[in-house]
Parts: sequence; C-alpha cells; structure tokens
Amino acid sequence: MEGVVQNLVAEACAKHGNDSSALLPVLLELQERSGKHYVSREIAEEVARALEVTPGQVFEVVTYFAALSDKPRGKYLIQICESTACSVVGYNALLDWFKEELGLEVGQTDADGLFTLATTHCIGACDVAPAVRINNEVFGNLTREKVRELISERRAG
Amino acid sequence: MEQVRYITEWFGRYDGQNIDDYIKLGGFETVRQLADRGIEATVAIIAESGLQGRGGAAYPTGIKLTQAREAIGERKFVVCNADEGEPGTFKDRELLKQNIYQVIEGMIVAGICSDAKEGIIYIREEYTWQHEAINDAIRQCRDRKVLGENVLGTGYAFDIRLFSGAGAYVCGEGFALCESLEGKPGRPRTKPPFVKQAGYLRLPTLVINTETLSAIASILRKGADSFKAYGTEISTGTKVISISGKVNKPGVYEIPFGLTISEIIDGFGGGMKDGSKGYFVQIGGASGGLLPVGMWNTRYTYEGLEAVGLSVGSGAIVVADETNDLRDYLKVIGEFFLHESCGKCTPCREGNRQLHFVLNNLAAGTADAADLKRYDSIMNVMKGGSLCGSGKTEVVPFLTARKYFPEAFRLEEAN
Ligand SMILES: Cc1cc2nc3c(=O)[nH]c(=O)nc-3n(C[C@H](O)[C@H](O)[C@H](O)COP(=O)(O)O)c2cc1C
Ligand code: SF4
Ligand code: FES
Repeated sequence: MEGVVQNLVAEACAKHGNDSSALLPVLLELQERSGKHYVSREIAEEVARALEVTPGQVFEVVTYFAALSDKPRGKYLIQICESTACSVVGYNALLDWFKEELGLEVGQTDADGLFTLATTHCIGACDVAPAVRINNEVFGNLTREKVRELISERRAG
Repeated sequence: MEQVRYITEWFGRYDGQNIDDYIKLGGFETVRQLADRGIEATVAIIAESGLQGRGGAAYPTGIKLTQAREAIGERKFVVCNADEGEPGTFKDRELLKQNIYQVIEGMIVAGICSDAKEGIIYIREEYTWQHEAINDAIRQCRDRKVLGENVLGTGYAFDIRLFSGAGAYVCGEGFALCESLEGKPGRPRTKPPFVKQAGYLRLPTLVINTETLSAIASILRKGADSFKAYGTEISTGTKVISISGKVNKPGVYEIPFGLTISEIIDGFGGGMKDGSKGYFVQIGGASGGLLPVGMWNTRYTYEGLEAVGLSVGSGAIVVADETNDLRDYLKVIGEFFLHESCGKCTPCREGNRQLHFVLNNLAAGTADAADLKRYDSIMNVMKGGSLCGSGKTEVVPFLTARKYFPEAFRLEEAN
C-alpha cells in the first residue's frame, strides 16, 4: 500500500517539477486522482517528503485553498454558486432543488459517497446563472427538471 | 447596438484552437514586427494608445512595460493573470476560449519588451475545464517555434506554462499570486519591494491581465490611433465587459468606452429581463460600486465612474431589478469577503467578521442605530488599514450602498 502512494506521488512530482513550486499542481492532481476530491494525510505526508517541504506547509496549503480538502468528499462534488449574479436570478431555488432531490444539506455527503452538496463563490458562468459546477463541468440555466436529470444520470453511473 | 470587434476581432473567425488558422489570419505578425521595430518603438505604441490595465487597477500599460524592462534580475517572468475571481466576471474566460493565441501573442510581446524569458498563465481553478485546450495551444506554439529558444526566428527566447490556482480570490492580487506559485498559502506580502521588482521567487515579475495582453496584440496590429478612435480622451479604446443578472441577453460584449449604463443594458444586455424595472447595478465585481437606476445615465468610462465613486474594475456589470432586495445582496457580498479574506491583517479579518453580524441584522430587518454606526466605522477602518487591495476596495459597494440607497438603511420603527 505504501509503495502505491509513493509511486503516485513520485509520478505527479516528476510531471510538475520536483520543487516547492510544484506543490499546488501536485496536490490538485493527486486530489483529482483520489476519486474523492481530497488529499489524504498519507498523501500529504508523502508529498512533503518528495518535495522537501515541511508537512506543516502542505497541511496549511490544503486547508487554505478552497479547492483542496483534507476530508473525503463524494465522487460527484456539486457546487452551487452563491455569488452576486447567481443571487439576483434565484440561486436559492436552485439550492433547494438540489437539497430536496439529494436529501442533503450543504456540506453533507450521501451514504454511498456518490454526491457531496456544497456552495461556492462565482465560477465564471454568470451568463447562464444560476450556475452549478459538478466536478469539472459547469451547468447553467437550470430548471427543476434539468436538476433531476443531472442527478439521475450520475446515479445511473 | 453593434458590438465593436477590436480586441475580439477574430472571435469566430477560427475555432480558437488551430494555430495554423490563427497564423493565416495574420497571427503572431506583431512578434515579427517587434524584431524589426525595436522594443522602445513597440512600447511607445502601447503608451501612445492610452491602454490602461484591465485587471482592475487601471495602471497605464505603457509605463508598466517600461518599468518591467528596467527591473533587474537574473530571471524575469511574465504572468498572464487569468484568475478572474471577481464575481460577475467571465470575459477572460472567452478571451482564453475563443482566441488563446492572441493572449499568447500579447505575452510574447510583453516578455520580449520586458526582457523576460519565462511566461506563466495563472488560471483560476474554476476554469479547470479549459486547462487541456490551453496546454494543447501551448504545445502547438512550441511545435511551430512560436515559443521556445528562438521565437519565430527573431533570436528571442520565450516559453509559457500553465499554472492553476486553487480557489482563492485573493490570489488574483500580485503578491498572493506569487506566493501560491511558490507553493505557499496565497497571502499578500507587504510593499515595497513591489511585484515588478521582487515577485515570483523574489525575482522581477510582470503580472498582467488576460484582456490587457489581448489588447496589446490588437493595438500593435492596428496602430495606436485605431484604438484611440474609440472611447474618450482619458478612457481610450474598447472594453470587454461581462453583463449578467436580470437582463435578457447576459454575455460578453466588446464596447467602446463612453456609453451610459442604460445604453449598455438596453443595447447589449437586451434590456431588463422580461421588461422588469431596474433597481441597481454593481459595476466591476464584488468589490465594485452600486449604482441606482436613477443614475444609469452615468457614462461607462474611468472618469465618469470615478466621479460617482465607482470604477471599471473587472469589467463586470451585474444588473438587479425591483424584485431584488439590496440588503440581501449586501449580505451576499459580505459573505463572499468573509470567506475570501486571507486573514493576514486585522482590519480586513476582524472587519469582515463584525460586518457579517451587521449585514445579517440589516437583512433580517432587526438592525438598530448601533449597527449602522458599526457599519460606518468598519468601513473607515478597512479602507484605511487593510494591507492589500481586497480589504481596501471591499468598502466600495458598502459605501456606495450607504450613499445611494438610503431606503436600505432605514430602520424599522421598533428598533
Ligand atoms: C484581491 C485582488 C484580486 C485581484 N484579482 C484579479 C484578477 O482576478 N485578475 C486580474 O487580472 N487582476 C486581479 N487583480 C489585480 C492585479 O493585482 C493586478 O493589478 C493586475 O493583474 C495587473 O494587470 P493589468 O495591469 O493588466 O491590469 C486583483 C487585485 C486584488 C487586490
Ligand atoms: S486586506 Fe484582507 S485579503 Fe488583504 S491581506 Fe488583509 S486580510 Fe488578507
Ligand atoms: S455569480 Fe454565479 S457564476 Fe458568477
């Protein structure tokens, strides 16, 4: 198991340059590859070793940046924009639809580890507000029907 | 109203991805011209055009390039600021998507003019879906020797890499951006020295907005006079704006400076959504000022907005109608900054915490006179005492709200 982590980290570090300037890209890549949108303690420590920075620096970076997480999240990270443009065109309704369809509150992950419901600041999709980001995809101009579809497509796999 | 096609001239003229199509249109000609024309003459054209930085601070780009050239360091960097973190802003997204090569062309010119050999496109994490296309464009540039040891045979060296942020608004600020490039939590440093002297790795770093870079390429292609044909004497040229909110046609539009807010909403935004009645706009992002419908005859220029306490900022225009509540909107802005304050300095960190309570009370209709007093004093402290532009400019929406929307601050009788 340890060897797997080492290889994974070594590979990411080799790709992004083996120094502290590679920390952010390395963490983002490893988080993406975790499948659960998080950087485990094990990975964080191995990254610190590989890039010769203190574990403290790695943990500080992981907790500072909103895109990084030290706790596992669902396979699908659903982030609903709550910034200015989305707020004037009804982000509240969109949030409610997701809450109801998923049976989750903001910050919760479902029992299967499939969905995490979260809010986010502006994702630069204000022209299709209210907007939502699911992993690296952005969806806008949503109706309740489309919300249902987005969820059921992902449930189906 | 017809859009201007100056910076965005080649939008839709090719697929935005194939470098050969871009070259066929005349792409990268300004790099070749630079080799003949010389650096000083090139910077002089930019200075003559009157172009001001489109990242928010409106610093004259000609002067910026000259200063970047004067900075001394064994390595020098050009960073394309594609962090686009101001809520309501999505125009850099389109400049990257529809014409990435023009951004790269602007970067090469800026690099050669400032004697930097390394370029970095710093893109926000929220645009991860664009990373692959940008990396592919960089690869095509290397294949065609547009980037590398000998750029287009000019003898200059310049290369670019893509770097992703990780979801921190303050990383759009120059120093915070450099810190995050170095693998640290992105928090601003104290000045001086400045980013241009000691930025990334404490080396000279030219941080410049995506639109500014695109504009550099267009201006060199067409001449300073063609740019100055648009706009006003102070606000020369065109601006790529992002319109969103309660309008019929939200989107990215290139406009000449000098139109009124109403003209922009009606002429480009397609008018108010389903004919609703306007209430306010926020101009320039979350840190931008609020303007009531009665003042929508204000001209969209640096000087016109400054006269009423606002600025162009990020080029965002968020439109709200009568069904929107300004108090709720202020709460949304407050939550944004509460979340995004990096916590390094007390005025901004504590100011945002206190403001949060006041804004909640205001939105709930339970605010009293003491709350309003606190509101005003928080603004004073944040404006004067914050370390970076985030805390300093965050006060703008709150001050303009106080000034132009007395109705939102009228206390309920019971309080
Ligand atoms: C908190 C904060 C956030 C900023 N965010 C951005 C941004 O997302 N994009 C940008 O180009 N400039 C941003 N800026 C401005 C930059 O610090 C810098 O002035 C700008 O990139 C310089 O480019 P320009 O001369 O082309 O305007 C931000 C500034 C502050 C204080
Ligand atoms: S003003 Fe705010 S964002 Fe800027 S350094 Fe201070 S705490 Fe950080
Ligand atoms: S405000 Fe929601 S995507 Fe920009």
